[in-house]
Amino acid sequence: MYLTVDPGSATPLFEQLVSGIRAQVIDGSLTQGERLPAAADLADSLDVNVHTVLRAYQVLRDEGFLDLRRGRGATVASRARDYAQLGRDIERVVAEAKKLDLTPAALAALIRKAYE
Amino acid sequence: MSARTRMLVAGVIVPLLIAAASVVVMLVALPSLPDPVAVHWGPSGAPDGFGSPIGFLLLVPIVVLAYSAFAFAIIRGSRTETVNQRIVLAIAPFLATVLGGLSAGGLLTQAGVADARDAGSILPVLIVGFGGGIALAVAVWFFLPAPAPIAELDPATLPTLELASDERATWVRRLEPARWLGIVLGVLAALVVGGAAVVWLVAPTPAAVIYVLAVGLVALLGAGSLFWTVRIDSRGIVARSALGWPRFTVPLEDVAGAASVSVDPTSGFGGWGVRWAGKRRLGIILSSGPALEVRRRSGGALVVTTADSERAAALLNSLARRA
Repeated sequence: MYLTVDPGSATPLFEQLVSGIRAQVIDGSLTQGERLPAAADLADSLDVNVHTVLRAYQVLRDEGFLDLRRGRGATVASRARDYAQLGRDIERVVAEAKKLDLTPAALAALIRKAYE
Repeated sequence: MSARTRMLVAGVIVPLLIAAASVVVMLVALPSLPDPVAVHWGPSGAPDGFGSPIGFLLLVPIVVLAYSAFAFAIIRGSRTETVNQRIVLAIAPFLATVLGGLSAGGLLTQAGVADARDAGSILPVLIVGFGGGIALAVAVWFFLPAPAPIAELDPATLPTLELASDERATWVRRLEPARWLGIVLGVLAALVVGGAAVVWLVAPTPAAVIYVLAVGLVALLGAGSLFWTVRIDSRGIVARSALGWPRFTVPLEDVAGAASVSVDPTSGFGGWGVRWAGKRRLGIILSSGPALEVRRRSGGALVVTTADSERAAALLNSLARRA
């Protein structure tokens, strides 16, 4: 698992963690059942509060990406979900947005609007 | 003498010569031996088993030839000098000296004796045989080529990635042995557990306890050397065994550079698990293929077989450059 956080960014740290981990579940670099690092270890490595990591793990559990179990820590949810097609679609959408000089924020806003 | 010649001399030629010499001595002594000869000796050193000398005559060449073939294959198959290989090669003359010396010596103590029961003690032969074998193994250890210094990484080819000045990054991966290795080890474990059951049923209790403890220890060490967590962050890289020990680290200050390399376990490291190859180059070798190689400023390297090694190397290089 590869994660970065930028404390200078306007996005809260836990959200940066959430999007980093979620992206890796979707692109398949984190596989079903794979164990994530212990929250304390991850917090230590990224020099963030352990509650920040735990909050990110909880958000990802609520979204169905992770299973949290006492004693086993966080694992990638085994609920069978195939994100391969979505990953390919996102690549296509992003490529199209770049062609049209849309910023990531603008694209995200469009997607959010489509949900409503 | 080239490194390869030294290996061949120490690991193959010398052991074969020792075995040949012991066979010649046995053949020469044959006419003056009693019939039957002593073939087994009790704890006091006096003979307590009798039979034909043919066993000794066959045992020495068969075992030494087989081991020499193994040593030859090891020399042929490897590209770097590994500690593993040095151990295998140093055992070759030891094995030949102990087997050949004990066989020939055991028969020589009986030369000219009418009845094998009157032959002298085997103890001097044991002492000379093992002492000579150990001395020769130590001599061969130093005669074998020392691991060559590892070649420098080309700084221009080291991968890097974009990292903002105050961005924090980590790369974490749990490593497991390749699936086929797991299957092989599982089958071995099943055989060993079956063996333990048999030993438990038939052997006296102390032997069974020793066997079970030894098996447990080997299983523990095996698990400890095959399951790892590797973590890269602003402090450097840590590879920690699933047992918590051993633990290998390269602090960021000590990172000279990192690269993604391709590893062939048998020819490059002499096998799987924790391995030394080359001068102070330590490998955690769980699969063949991509690996992260981290060079230390203080000399030596840490090599870990892992997927995504390119990104791991890039992160380490970028962190080291920023620090």
